[in-house]
Amino acid sequence: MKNKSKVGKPAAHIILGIWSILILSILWIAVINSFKTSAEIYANILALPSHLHFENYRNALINSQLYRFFFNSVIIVGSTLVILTVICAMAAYVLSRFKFRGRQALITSIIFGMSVPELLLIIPLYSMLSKMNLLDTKFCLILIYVSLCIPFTIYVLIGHYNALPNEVREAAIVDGCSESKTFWKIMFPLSKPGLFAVASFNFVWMWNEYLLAMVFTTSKESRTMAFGMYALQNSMTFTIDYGALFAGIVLMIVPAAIIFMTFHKYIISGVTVGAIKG
Amino acid sequence: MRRLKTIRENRKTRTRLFIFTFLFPAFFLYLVFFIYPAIDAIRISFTDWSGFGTSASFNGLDNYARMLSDEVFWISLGNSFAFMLGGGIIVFALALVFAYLITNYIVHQKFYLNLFYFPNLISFAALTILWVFIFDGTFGVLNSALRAVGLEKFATAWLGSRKTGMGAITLVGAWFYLGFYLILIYSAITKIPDSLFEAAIMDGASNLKIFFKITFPLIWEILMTAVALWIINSLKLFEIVWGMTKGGPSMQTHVMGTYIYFNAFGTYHAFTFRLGYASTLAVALVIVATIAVTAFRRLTARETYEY
Amino acid sequence: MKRAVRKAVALLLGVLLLASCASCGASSGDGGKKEITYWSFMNEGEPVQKWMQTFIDDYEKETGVKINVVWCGRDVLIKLQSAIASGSSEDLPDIVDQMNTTVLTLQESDGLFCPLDELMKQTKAYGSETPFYDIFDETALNAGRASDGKLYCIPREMYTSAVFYNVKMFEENGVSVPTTWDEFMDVCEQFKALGIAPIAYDGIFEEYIPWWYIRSCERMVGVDTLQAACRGEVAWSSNSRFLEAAQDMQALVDNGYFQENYEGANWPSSQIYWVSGGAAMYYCGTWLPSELAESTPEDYVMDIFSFPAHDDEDAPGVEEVWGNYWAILKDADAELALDFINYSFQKKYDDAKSDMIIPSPLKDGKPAAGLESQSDILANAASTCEIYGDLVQYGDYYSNIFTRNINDLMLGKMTAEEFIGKMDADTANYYK
Repeated sequence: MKNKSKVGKPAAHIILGIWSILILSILWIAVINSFKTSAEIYANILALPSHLHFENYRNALINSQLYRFFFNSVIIVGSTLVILTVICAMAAYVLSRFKFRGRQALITSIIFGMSVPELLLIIPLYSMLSKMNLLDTKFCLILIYVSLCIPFTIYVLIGHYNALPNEVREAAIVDGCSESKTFWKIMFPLSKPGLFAVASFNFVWMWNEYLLAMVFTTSKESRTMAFGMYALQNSMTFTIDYGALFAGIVLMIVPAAIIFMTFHKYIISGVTVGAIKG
Repeated sequence: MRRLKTIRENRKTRTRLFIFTFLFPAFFLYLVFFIYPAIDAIRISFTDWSGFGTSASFNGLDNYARMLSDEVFWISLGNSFAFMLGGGIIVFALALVFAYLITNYIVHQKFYLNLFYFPNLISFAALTILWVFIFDGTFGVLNSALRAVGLEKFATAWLGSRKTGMGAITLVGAWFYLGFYLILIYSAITKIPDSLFEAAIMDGASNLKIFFKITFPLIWEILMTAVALWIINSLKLFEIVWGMTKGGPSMQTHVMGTYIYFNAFGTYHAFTFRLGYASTLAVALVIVATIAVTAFRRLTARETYEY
Repeated sequence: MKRAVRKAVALLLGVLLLASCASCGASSGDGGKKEITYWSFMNEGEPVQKWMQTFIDDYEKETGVKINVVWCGRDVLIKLQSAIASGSSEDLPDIVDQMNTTVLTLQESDGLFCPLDELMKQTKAYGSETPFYDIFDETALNAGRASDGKLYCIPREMYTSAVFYNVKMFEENGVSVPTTWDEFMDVCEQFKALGIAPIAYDGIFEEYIPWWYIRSCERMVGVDTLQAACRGEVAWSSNSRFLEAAQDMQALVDNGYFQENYEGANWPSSQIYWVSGGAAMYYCGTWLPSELAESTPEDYVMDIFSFPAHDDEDAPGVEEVWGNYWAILKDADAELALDFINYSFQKKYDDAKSDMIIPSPLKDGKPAAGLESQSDILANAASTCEIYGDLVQYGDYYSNIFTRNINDLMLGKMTAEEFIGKMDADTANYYK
C-alpha cells in the first residue's frame, strides 16, 4: 500500500479527530437526550440524564410501531436496489463505452432528470399509478423508487465505467467474447465497488424517504419504516416529547448502520489488478 | 438474390441490438415514470392550477414573468448558489484532505470512513430538530458555549437572519454530506493500482507530491462527477432548510427547493395552493441546474487518463 | 453469472407481482360491507389519535361498518391533492379533518365539501332526542361556515387565543391581571423592574409572529377593515388605527418587554421558557396546555386573560374562535359519514377529550381543566372571528408581505411609521 509514514500519523489523527468530535458530540447529544424527560432536555441539553428514562424508547417503539414496518422497508428497499443496480449498470456501461447517435441526448436527459425536485412528480405519478390500479402496493413504491433513482445511479456509474481500464474489455473481445458476455463476466464484476457504493447511497435515500411513502401507500402491508419515523417525529413535535423523538432517531439509525457497515467492505474492496498487469 | 450480410454488418447489427437491449430497461422505466410526469409538471407550470380540484386555466408565460419579478425567487436563487459554492468548497476541501490523510496515514480506515458517513445515514428531517436546538437563541448549545468562554458578542440569533441563517445551514449541510463525498473520493483512490505508485515511492517522492501528481489526476473523472452531483443536490436542497428555518424568517433563508415546496403545499397553517407557480419554479430550477452542470463539465473537461 | 442474475431478478419480480396482486385482491370486493374512509392529519401515537382510536373501534363493533382510517400526518393534504387530481372518485376519502380555516379556504376555491346544515338538523344526536345540530355551541358552528353561510365542517374542539400567565408569579409579586392595554403596559413594566421577562415571544416562528399585531387590529379596526387592507382595497395609512397598533408593538420592542435573545427564539423554546418560569406571560391559542403537558412542572399554575383592550376600539371584545374540524367530501356517503361523526360526540368520548385539556365545542361539554376562564372570555365576547383574523386565506400576501413586514417591526428593524409606509408600498405593488 502507500507510504505509511509514521511521522504524520499523530497529526492526521488530530485533524481527523476534530471532525470526529463534531460528529460524535451530536450523536452523543441525541443518545443522552433520548434518556431524559422533556423538561430535563430544556434545562440543560448537554447534561447527563439524572435517571435513565427507558420509557422514551418504549414510547417511541409502541407509538410509532417502527418495527412493524421493518420488513416492508427491507423488501421494498432491497428489491429496488437489486433491480436498480442491474439495469443502471447495463445502461451506464453502454453509455460509457459505445458511441452512437443519441448518446449525448440521453446523457443530457439524465442530467435533466437529476435536477428535478421529486415533489413535483408526486401528483402526475399518482394519477398514473391510480389508473394502473397499483396504488398502495409494495410494487408501486418499488417502481417509483427505481425510476426516481435511475438518473443519479446511471450518472455515477457512467463515471465509474469511464474510469475502468479498457484493455480488459478489448482483450475479451479479441478472444471472441460477445459484448453481452464481456459485460456480465468481466466488466460488471470489475465495477463492483462502484456498484456497491451507489447502491448504498440509494439505500440511505430510500431508507429515510417518507413523503412518497405517505402519499402512495395507506395500508400496513405497504407502509415503510421511514414513514413510521416521520409519524413519530411529527407526533413528538406536537407533544413536545423530544425525549421520545431522540429515542426514535437512535432506533432508526441502528438497522441502517448495521446494513451499511456490512456492505462497507464490498465498497472498499480493491480492484483485481492482476488481470491487467499480470 | 439476397446478399448475405458481411461479417462486419452482422457485428454492427449485433452491437446495435446489444446497445438497445442494455439501454432499454432503465430508460423505459425512466421515460414512463419520470420523464412523462415531468413533462406533465411542465405543462402545469403554464397554468394557474391551485393543486386542488380540476379547474386550471392556461396562463401562458404569466407565471414566468411573475417569477422574474418575485423578490423571494431571487433571494432563494442566491441562497441556493451561496450554499452550493460555500458548502461545496468546505465539503470538497475537507473530503480531499481527509481522503489524503486516511489513505496515507491511517491503519483503521474503516473507523473514520464509517464514522464520517454516519450523519448521512440519519433521517435529516429528524436530526435537524437537534440542530435547531443547538442554534437556538435562548436555549442553544452554541450560544451557551460562547457565553461560557466569554465570546458573548458572537452569541446572536443564528437562525434569525439571512447571513447567519445560511451560514448555519451551510455548516449543517457540510456536516451531513461530507461522508458521502469522502467515500466517493476514497473509493476512487483505492481503485488506482499500486503499481503506479511503486515507481514514485522508489524515487523517494513525498506523500504530498504523490497525491498531487499521481492520485489527483487519476481520480479527476470521479471527482468531477462528484462535484457535478454536489451542484445538483445542493441546488435541490430541501429537507435541511425546511427542518431548520422553513425558509424563514421573513422568507430570507429560502432556497429553491423549499420555495417550491412552499408554493406547492404551503405550511401547515398557511396554505398557498399554487401548484402552477411551484411548477414554474421547478422548471427554473431544472434549467439552472442543467446549465450549471453542463458549464461545469465543459470547463473542466480533460482527457481521461487510461491506466 | 448472467443467467444467475437474470433468474434472480425474474424470480424477485415474479414474487413481487404476486404479492401486489394478493394485496389488491384482498382489499376490493368485501361483499357489500359498508365502509368509511377517513384520512386523518393525526399521526399514530399522538394522544388525540389514541383517543380517536377508542371510538373508531367501538363504532366498528357496534355498527359493523368498517372504518378505513389512514393516519397520514400533517402533510395529508398532499395526498388529498394527488387523489383529487387523479380524477377518480374511488381514491378519495369520505372524511378528512383539518383546521377550519383550511377547510373553508378549500371550499371557497374548489368546492370540495358537503354542506351539512340540513343533515345535522335532521339527525338526532346519539343517545338523545336533540338534533345533532343543536348540541353544539353556536360560535363553534359559525366558525365552520363559508361565505355562502352554509356549514361545511363540524368542530371537534373549540379554541380561542388569550394571554397565558404564570398565576403564582403574579400573586407572589402582587401583580394584578390587566384588563386594559395601559394596565397591561404597567404590568410589563413591573415585571421588567423585577428582572423577569414580561413576555415570551418567538422571534422566528412564522405562525405566531403576526399574532400580537393581528389581535390589536382585530380590536382597533375590526376584522372586516383588516381583511380589506390585506386585499388592497383600503390603504394601511388611511386608518390611523393601523398606525396606533403598530406603535403599540414598537413600544413593546423598545421597552424591552420580550425575553432576552428573543430574535433567535424558535418554537417551542419561548413557551418552554415561559413554563419554566423565565417569563411572566405568553400569547397563544388554548391548545397550549395540552401541548405543554409533558413539559409543565408539577406545581405550575397557568391561567388566561383576554387580550388587553384599548379604550376606543372599533370592534371591542372580538375574540378568535377556531379548531380542528371534521369535513365530509362532496361525493361521499354523507349520511353514513355523519353517523360516524355523530357517534364520536357522545358524552363519554367528549369528556375523555376534555380530560386531555382540549376544550369541547359542545354546549354542555365538560370544561377542560385549567381553561375554565375560556368559557368566561367567550361568554363576554361581543363577536368572534377566525384565528389570525382569517388572513390566512390571502396565502401569498399573508406570508410574503404581511408576516414579513410585521417580523421586521417586531424585531425592531422598522419604526411604526416606516412599517405603515412599507405596507402601503408593498400592497400597492402586489395588487397592481
